[in-house]
Amino acid sequence: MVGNEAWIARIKVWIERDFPNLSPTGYEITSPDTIDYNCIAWAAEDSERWWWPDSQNIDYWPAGVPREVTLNAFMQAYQTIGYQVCDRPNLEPGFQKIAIYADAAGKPTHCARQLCDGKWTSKLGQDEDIQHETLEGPAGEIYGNVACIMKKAIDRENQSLSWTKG
Amino acid sequence: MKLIEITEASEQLAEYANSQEPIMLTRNGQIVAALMPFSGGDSEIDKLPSNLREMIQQLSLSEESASASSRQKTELETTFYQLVEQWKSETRGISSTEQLSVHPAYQQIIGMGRDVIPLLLRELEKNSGRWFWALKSISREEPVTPEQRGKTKEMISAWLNWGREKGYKW
Repeated sequence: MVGNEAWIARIKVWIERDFPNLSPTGYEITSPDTIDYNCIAWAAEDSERWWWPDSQNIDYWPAGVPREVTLNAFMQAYQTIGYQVCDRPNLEPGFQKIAIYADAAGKPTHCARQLCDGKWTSKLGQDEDIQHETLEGPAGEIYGNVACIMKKAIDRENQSLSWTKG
Repeated sequence: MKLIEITEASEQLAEYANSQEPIMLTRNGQIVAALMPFSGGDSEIDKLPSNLREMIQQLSLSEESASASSRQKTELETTFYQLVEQWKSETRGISSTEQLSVHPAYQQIIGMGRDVIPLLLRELEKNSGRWFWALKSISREEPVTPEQRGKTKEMISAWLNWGREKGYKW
């Protein structure tokens, strides 16, 4: 948890307005807002770049991956850093997982990353990072639902802090 | 009455003018012009030659124009900041560069044209939002290198340097 109580209270009003499933399923704010990176980068443990395959070539997108807003392109983007598609979001020893959300048209909107205790961490657009108990928390009108789960083996020798911290 | 050789600094001339004394301007010892204190009252203007009266009228018109320009600038800033707040409020949680940039408030800011470039640079400097698409659309320039794409801090720095090079002040 970060910041003072007044700040947290104000931010929570906005978060719960936009993501009404978060409060009933449990969440907490874990960092102040920043425009440095977005959820797609945060899931990839990159806190310095904004990942998006925009048509104006403004933001970062992995080389060789189609620059298009499709689930397939997003899956390929995460494959470049070692993720593979898997079936279930459960906590699995030796693996780190991510969940790609997509809207009703199948367009990716968001990505969350699993932490070592089974909770999930998400960056909310240009705003705060949160830790949420379930994948259903951020689901809804803005992000749609989880469309794909991916996992990669954890390098235990060089396990990053991001695995343990949101 | 003061005598001023017109090779003297204009600051000195202004200083004498403030004293409300009549001033004679000379060149090489010859009087070339006379300056008289002037209050700007209608009775004084009526006594002036017609060409001077016209000059005074033009000056007062340009003051009105400067005042109108200042009003327009204030209105522009008010509208701009209203749109910024609307955009930030209505795009919370959005990660899609496209969705952020096609939002109606963001598009209206782009539609305001080059006048908002200093305001956008100011917002970028404050890290208030991703204004890269707007700056690129309005200026039709791209100071961000392919290697810097997505690296927000470096992108901000590239645009602020671009703004300075172009002479924008914010």
